[in-house]
Amino acid sequence: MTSRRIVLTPWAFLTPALLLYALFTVYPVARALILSFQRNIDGEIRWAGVAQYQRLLGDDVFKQALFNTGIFLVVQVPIMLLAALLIAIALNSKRFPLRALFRSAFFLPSIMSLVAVGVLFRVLLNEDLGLVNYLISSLGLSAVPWITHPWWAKITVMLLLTWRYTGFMMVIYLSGLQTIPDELYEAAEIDGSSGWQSFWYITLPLLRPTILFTTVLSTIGVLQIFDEALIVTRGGPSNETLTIGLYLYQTVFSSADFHYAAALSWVLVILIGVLSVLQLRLGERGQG
Amino acid sequence: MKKRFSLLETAVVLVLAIGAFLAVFPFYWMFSAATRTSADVLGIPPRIDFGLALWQNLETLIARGFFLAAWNSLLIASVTTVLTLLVASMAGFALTQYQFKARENVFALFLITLIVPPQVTIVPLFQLMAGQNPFSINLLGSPWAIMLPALSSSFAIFFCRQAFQKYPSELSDAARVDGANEFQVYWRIALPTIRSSLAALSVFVFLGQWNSFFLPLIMNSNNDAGRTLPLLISSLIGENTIDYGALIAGTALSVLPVLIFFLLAQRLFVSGALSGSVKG
Repeated sequence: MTSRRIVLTPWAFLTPALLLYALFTVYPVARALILSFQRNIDGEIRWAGVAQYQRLLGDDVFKQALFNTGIFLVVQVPIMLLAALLIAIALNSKRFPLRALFRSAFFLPSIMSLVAVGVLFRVLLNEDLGLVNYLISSLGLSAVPWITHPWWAKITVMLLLTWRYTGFMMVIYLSGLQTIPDELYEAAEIDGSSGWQSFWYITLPLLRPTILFTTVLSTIGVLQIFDEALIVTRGGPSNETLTIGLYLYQTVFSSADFHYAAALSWVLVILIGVLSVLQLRLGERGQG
Repeated sequence: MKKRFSLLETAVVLVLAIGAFLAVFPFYWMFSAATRTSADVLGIPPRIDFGLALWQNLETLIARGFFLAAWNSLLIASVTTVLTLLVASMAGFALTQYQFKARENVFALFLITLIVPPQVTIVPLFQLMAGQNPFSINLLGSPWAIMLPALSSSFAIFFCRQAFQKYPSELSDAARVDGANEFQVYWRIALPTIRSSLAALSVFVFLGQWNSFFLPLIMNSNNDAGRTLPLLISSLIGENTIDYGALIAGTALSVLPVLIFFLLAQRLFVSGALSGSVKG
């Protein structure tokens, strides 16, 4: 009797969470998979095999979104993580003046909603009347087409991401750095190691799990870019900043093509899964 | 003995000072622009001082339904926070205080969903909320369509599990001896001991909801009365002639509560409490 009660009690506590998961996570994920293998012919739902996925392979807009996301991933993530790491190392030093204030200042952008960030960037980077182009022109340079030029629009999105997330990543690095005991650096200094050597042989190896974590986190984040791109560029000019998230949204609300959108969303799941596992594997192998 | 700064160190401080300025300046610009007229937000030469048009901007905002949107945001963020904390703390309690066979598997399920992108649930969730459910209830435009899916937060469960791991189970045993039932042990004895963790968690859940855009956008595309602040702001930027003064004022007002939270609880944010809990 007693043991039976003990067995059931944890399940009673878990029931609300499990129910919510079943309804609003597990069911939709499974349902999306089913939808992606169907098609809607004049209101009639039929099985379609992998037709939706085949459609994706031939879809130039999808390829463009994939390419854009890839650019953001390969260019923005390493730059941001390197900057965050260097800032964290500098601000971890007790010799740094006002370092608490600096930490807060760098972290501040990450509390702002992406919609708000999008609005600010769109106004500050306005091509004719914005503050940034005014400053650039007053230096004698020509105004930058932040929103309308294919490559500059990509750079705008990457600048926005870097502004918003560098401080957040810095905080993660700081908490990683704080787990490295000072004695290690002191011992290395006594043995005549330079600051660069300490960084290369102590900081980097011990920070490896943290670096891995931030890489996976940023990758997942970049693959899901939506709010900021919608507000600043609407995916334009001519789909040059279109992301998978934006394309998905357009497919649902402009073309109401739920089955195609479901296939698109499952490609996103697979991409996130594969890239995460790949990065974790690479990280572990480097460690061995 | 304090060494003097080397040339390199001075350069580093200087570069970081510029970086910190770039991080903070848009906040200053936003609050100052909120007080300027539309022409003075965007105009040549640009202005960066405070203006006199704050009231005028607020009037425009109020006419566009600012109070209703702010109320919706507050309501949705508050209710979601309370319910999420309740659900997640119960799950965290179960996952740490009881031995049962499937415990690790249940936890693994919660963990896996941490990397499920919200986009993949969007089509079925939309259909579910649009009335394709056994009860044919159409929740689109109602706050529940936004709140219910947000309640299953793996992050919150993870956080509560971490917090309960430090809870001494002897306290529960003592309460059981005194005749408390399991729910009373959780509610009266265990929950109060993780109060400070719950406070931290509530800040993050609240801010996450307050700033949320994607799910509200999907669930509330056809009901202006149900708009949250981010939806109102994004609708202002979609108008043909954008009133930049009102747009920036609305943006500033949506950021203000978050900024106050941050200034009051800076250490919580910058200490990495969030990141530490994600990492485990």
